[in-house]
Amino acid sequence: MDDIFKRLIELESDEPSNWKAEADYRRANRAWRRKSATIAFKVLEALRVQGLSQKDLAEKMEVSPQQISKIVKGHENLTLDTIVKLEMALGIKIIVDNRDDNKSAA
Amino acid sequence: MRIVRIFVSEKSKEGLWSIHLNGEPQNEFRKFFNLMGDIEWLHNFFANNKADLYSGYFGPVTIDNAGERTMDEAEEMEDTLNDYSKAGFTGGDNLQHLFKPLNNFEYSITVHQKSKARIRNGWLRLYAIRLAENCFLVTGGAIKLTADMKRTHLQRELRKLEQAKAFLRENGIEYPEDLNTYLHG
Repeated sequence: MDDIFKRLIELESDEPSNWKAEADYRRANRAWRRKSATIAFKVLEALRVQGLSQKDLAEKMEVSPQQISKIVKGHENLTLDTIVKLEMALGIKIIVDNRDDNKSAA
Repeated sequence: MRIVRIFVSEKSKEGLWSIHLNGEPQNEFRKFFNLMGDIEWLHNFFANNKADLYSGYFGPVTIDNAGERTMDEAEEMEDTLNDYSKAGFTGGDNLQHLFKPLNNFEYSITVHQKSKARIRNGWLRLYAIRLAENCFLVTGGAIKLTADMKRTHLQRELRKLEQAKAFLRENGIEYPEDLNTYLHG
């Protein structure tokens, strides 16, 4: 084991792995990231069904393609304003409240 | 190819290393956990592997559910490894409990053995070479929806295991001849 370890140290890259910090971040921010992931799946599915590209969505929402990229990766802590813009641009419901249910039942 | 330290005990020398392939922005271990949290990547992967997803090997699963399931497994796997890294290697569970021989019919644990980590009944795999007790070199990871290793992305993982073994051999870290076949990853 000592020989293997010595050899591994000699071969080791200088770059840090950064994984631990990322793992801690993912764990600490898990709750909102899972919600963001659910929204990302809905957006990607709507894009697929409607035959739209991410660029099309960016233009409809008047935001940068980079922001759409973050949204569909599930990495964005979305504001309500952005969620409503997504709903309007794609014609989908992301947050469904009781009033919506009552309206459709009436 | 380079070698990156993920977490290693200076005292006992146990721990986890990863390969970093030339031309890749991240080492294979870090890349795996980043991809498992990238919804666009997961959506594309499951859309491209729909036939395997719907084949019933894991029961009928929709793309959304597949994504949720993958994230659940990745979180459990990452938390377990993160907890090991913080707790050190004194007693209790350790890496050897998580990594098993790659071949399902191989019951003995040997040095430089091709290994995999997975959650019980899960489809995520982390592939590694066992260097010594509680010391593994991660070569990659995959979502494995099929019983065999024939799919292109799984064949790529097998090639990386081979590349890593060749790299170790070229750099004076010797290992016995391969005992595994690749039928059951």
